[in-house]
Amino acid sequence: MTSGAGTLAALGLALLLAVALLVVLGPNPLGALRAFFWGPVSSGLAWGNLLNEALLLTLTGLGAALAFGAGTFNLGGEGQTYTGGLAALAVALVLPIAWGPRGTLVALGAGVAAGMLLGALSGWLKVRFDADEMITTFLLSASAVPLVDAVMTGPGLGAAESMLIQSRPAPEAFWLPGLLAPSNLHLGVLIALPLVVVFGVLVNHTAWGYRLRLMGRNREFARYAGISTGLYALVPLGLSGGLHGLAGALGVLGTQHALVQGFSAGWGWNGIAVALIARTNPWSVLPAAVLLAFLDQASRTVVLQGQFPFQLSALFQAAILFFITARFVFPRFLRPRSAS
Amino acid sequence: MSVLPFELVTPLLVAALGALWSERAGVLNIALEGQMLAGALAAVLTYHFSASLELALVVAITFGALTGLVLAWGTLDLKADPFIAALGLNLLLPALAGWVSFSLFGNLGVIRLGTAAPVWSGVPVFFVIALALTAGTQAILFHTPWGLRLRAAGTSAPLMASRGLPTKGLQRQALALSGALGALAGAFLAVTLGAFVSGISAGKGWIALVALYLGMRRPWAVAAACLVLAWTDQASNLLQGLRSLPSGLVLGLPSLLTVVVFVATSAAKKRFSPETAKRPSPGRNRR
Repeated sequence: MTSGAGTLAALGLALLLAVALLVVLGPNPLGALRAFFWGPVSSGLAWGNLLNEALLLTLTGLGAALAFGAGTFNLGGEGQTYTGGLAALAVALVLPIAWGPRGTLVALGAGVAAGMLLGALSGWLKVRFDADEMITTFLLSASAVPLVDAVMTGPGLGAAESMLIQSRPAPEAFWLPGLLAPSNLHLGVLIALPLVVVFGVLVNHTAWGYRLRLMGRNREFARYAGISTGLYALVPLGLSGGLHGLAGALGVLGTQHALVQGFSAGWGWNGIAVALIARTNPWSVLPAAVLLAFLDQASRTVVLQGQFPFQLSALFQAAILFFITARFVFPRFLRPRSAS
Repeated sequence: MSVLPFELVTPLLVAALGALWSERAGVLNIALEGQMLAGALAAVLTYHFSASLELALVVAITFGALTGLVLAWGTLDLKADPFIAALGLNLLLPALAGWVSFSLFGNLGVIRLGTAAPVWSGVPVFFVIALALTAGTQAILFHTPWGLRLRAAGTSAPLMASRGLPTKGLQRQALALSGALGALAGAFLAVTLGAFVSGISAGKGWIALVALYLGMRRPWAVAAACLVLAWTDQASNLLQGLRSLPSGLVLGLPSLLTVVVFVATSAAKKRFSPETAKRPSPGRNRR
């Protein structure tokens, strides 16, 4: 198995690609480089957005890492996040305003539950029908996204007058208090920090976590050791979906205050990249998330400042995904194959 | 609307054949969606500058094969997970396409072609090509030594190793061929439509995988499956025209259908052959 050096090489390659693109294609290489490296930390607003994204990616990254660590692949983060946002908004619109913060918690819980259901569905399909969860999570997510798009503007949720494609706003009573205004940061995303500790301890220092990692290392051996392999496929996928759903719900109640089309686009994919950089260890998820959030904010700044004509984020996302997986030898490949 | 929806069947069938070659070699190509888009853009750009349809198709095929080789490099040489590497490619190719179209034409949207797809006495040439490719796939895959080796690479790597045959090389060839067919499918799509539109593949790369499983990985059965899927596509277009269905459902339908078919085939496999249930499912690299 390649070690941290491989991961660094992959990140270096992606970063090199970024700088090369900026220098070769940007109209003003120096300005572009400055915007890229200085932009994300140049003001309180920028810091707020950076921290917000880093913490959200910590959540989705934790979710992806949990599933990967158990040898199950959750590639449906995009749809789980989006659906979590929808569930949180729908519940927030229904609850009585008088509930206040309690209502916020219930709405967040609905987001978690929605993501969890979507993730656990793939886990169940795996256990029941032996359908590869890698493919079902992705496809369920891919079909969920247009459905959420349709629902958000449909009857009950749609906003009458808005330039953006979005839903009605959630009642202000349920909004999460903002931090470093007018940035996207809010109190809610701070929950990512204790969750890192919880899952860090759970995965690395408990018997449950040991069995989970054993599943990831060698499913046949885990079965031989008497571990319920079905349960350990279902639970990590469910938890993973739940964490994604939480991220979506936080985005809606903390930053957007409504369901805006595509508001969580990229959180799922970046979460996967985070988990791969962190090598599925919850403790490493936070720094990996900060790194990716920086890359994303940097490419946004470059585009916003007119230093580059085209949205770079998608290119980075793709390059990192390609190179990171290329360097990262998955535990599942260490499983014994038929006499090969 | 015709009984034989040529324009719907043709790209689907060609892409499904691409999926078939890779799946038979044991390296299911999931980047078809991106490769179709890339092929469409490559064809339209080439035609735009050369006004030659033949050249446009050749360039699309070449570029598609290149993307297949990139995927092979990632999964076979760098040992990346084939599914995640392919998804990376699926994100990369639309981003590149958008960037190229933006730099050359200043928009991310529509590039007009200014030519129509050729027709031979009522039958679209592309459809004939797709049928010829199906026949060719059947003949090569099941009646030549190379086809046999390729299928062996997909099912029994240890046997290949014991005979000193290069599994990796064959899988690389299969991925290149698969990418070429995916891009050709995209080129057919764009030329038939008369334009490149961002998001032109619209889930067809995934539907091609449905066709592959529905057709039980056999070329002519896959072709029949494509026809059935084209009919359902036609029906859903009609439904959309009636505005009785929310557009989200129609857009989500390809992936939803894929997942249902995928689960059904997985279930059938598990039920009818307990031995194969333990084998890695399709989409996994069998090394």
